[in-house]
Amino acid sequence: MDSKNNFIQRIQAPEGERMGVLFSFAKGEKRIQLSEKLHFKAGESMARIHQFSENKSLNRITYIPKVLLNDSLESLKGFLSSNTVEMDFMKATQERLLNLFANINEKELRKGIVHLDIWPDNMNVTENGEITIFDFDFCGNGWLCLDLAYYLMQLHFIEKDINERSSKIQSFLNGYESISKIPNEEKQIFQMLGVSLYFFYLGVQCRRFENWSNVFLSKYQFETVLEMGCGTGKNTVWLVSQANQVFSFDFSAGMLVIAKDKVQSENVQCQKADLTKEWDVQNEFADLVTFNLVLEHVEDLGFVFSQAFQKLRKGGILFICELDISLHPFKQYQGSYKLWMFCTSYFRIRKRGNGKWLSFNRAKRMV
Amino acid sequence: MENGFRLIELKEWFDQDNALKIPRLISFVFEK
Repeated sequence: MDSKNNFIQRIQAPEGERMGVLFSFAKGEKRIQLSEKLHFKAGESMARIHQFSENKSLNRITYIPKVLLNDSLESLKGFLSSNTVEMDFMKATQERLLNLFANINEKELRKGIVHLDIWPDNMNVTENGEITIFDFDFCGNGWLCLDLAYYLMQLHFIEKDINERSSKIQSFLNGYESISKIPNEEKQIFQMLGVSLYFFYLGVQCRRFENWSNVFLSKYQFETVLEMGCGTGKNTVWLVSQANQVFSFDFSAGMLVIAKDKVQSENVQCQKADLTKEWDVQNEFADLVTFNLVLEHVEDLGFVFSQAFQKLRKGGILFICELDISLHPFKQYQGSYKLWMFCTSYFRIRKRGNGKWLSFNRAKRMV
Repeated sequence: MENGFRLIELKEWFDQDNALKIPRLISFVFEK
């Protein structure tokens, strides 16, 4: 509780506004790998929460199929083009899941308040196996089996060994059922609900991706900005909040329509432009030139960097951000690897002497 | 200093709560 007797605090986090509660005490520590015994206890804890929350509701979101599947796919559209194999897969999966939802016998499912993010990353565990569950960001209304399905879905990520995973899943369910019986109708839909929740959180991550550039750039001062490859304007909103004049360019007229709709400010001009041709901006105009997830598509990076150099004033900042491909399976992001190799060459970010390319971590230590 | 730019920051970022769910980002900041 703060000096004004408020329990809940609003926090301006990099991904947007979040709510925080200061716990006076949460015993133990976070452990991702839990023993069978601890999964049993986690099941017990969830069941006790559900005993309390069943048939109750909050003035918060209700997790209906539209929220889990439709809204999430809409958010994903800003990141995956419609003509990709990945998006085709997502659409086909969404359709299949919506059909399964339509055939669920809802009357047999328990309803109430759900946490929707119970898994080992959101609990502290003591040496004696006492569990404290936290992170209620996604608390809302829905079928109680959503919590069960989410926990089981996460177990599939955490536990790679099939036999170990199976025994821990069974232990968790046994723990739950030692407190409350799980209706068979709920057990039958665990899998499809788990995939649906993965859909939902994919949408959440897409929405959180907005405005992430402040994580990198908030410590720099700038008044004039060239945003090269603004896309749907996902970073433009924040840039405009920091600068007096922003030129946002993109090759796609369709993306610019969305960007103009999203960023309604006199200080921004969204224009169609090809980054690989002469930029139609006066020299030494910008304090900041940004490339956010755009250079992976550009072949002649040398030309683009020479343009950036011309358009920046002395002391100006060139900002480049790309996905680290070592964690990303999608083929189109192989362009990021080429970019990293080019940047290490173009800007001579490499170990002197033996001429070998530096890993990211070694390069970071040199800065 | 190379090609008129000086590398002043290298940074990586990922959502701590969801480190396994979303791709990590790397960023370069250069000064002219």
